[in-house]
Amino acid sequence: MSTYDHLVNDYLRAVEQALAGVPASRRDELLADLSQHIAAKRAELTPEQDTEVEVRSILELMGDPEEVAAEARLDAESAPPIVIQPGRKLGALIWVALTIGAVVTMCVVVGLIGVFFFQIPGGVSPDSKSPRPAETVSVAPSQPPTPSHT
Amino acid sequence: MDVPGSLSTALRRGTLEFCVLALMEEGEQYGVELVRRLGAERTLTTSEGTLYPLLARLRRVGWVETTWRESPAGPPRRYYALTPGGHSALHHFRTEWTSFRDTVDRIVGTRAA
Repeated sequence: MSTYDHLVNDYLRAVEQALAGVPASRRDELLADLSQHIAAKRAELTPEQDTEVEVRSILELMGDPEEVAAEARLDAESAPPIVIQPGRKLGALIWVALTIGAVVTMCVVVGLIGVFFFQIPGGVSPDSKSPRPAETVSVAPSQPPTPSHT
Repeated sequence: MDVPGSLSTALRRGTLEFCVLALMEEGEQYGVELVRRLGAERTLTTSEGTLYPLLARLRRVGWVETTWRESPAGPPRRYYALTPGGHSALHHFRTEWTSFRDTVDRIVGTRAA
């Protein structure tokens, strides 16, 4: 069993090196998974079968260290792509709700502006009158000097 | 797209994890066996080693949970099983995939006669 351990160790070291940049916890987890997989497959071999050829073929099925690391890096870089999918529908619903909300708000605002504009020419609103006395009051302080001269 | 095999890589992305989930649908699976079965599928062109990052991702997302069990011979075995979240993800994929496949088949002209 231990005779060809160095082949396995070389393989795992190559994966480890290719995993540079992947968070340590994920790197260790992957290396443990790979090493357990290899150990399990080697445990299935009889002592006579545990030859260099067999060990190499187990490692060959594991795949190129760069390829394995690339898969792990892809995982580390982006969030799981599929989780977004159910969320997308929810996101679409939110957008629909927001659009409807915006349209309703605009209708209300336009309606209010319309009512406001119609009220001013009629002079019905007390608000349209109140600014005028205020204007005359503000002009008033400038007037007293004139009467005092006359 | 100049690398040979990049098409199969692109096709595999986003679908392989559901093949993994589907294999667990009938019940928990011994990890090594699961990986061996998928690795042996030539069309998927996936090596056994690349499946472990994928399984780790499925664990983290919470679609799959694992249990260690003693083995009559050899080291303890890790078993993989679908969680309720994994079941619904697989169900969701099935409906999405069916309409996706139908549309591609219609446009590309690969619809079965």
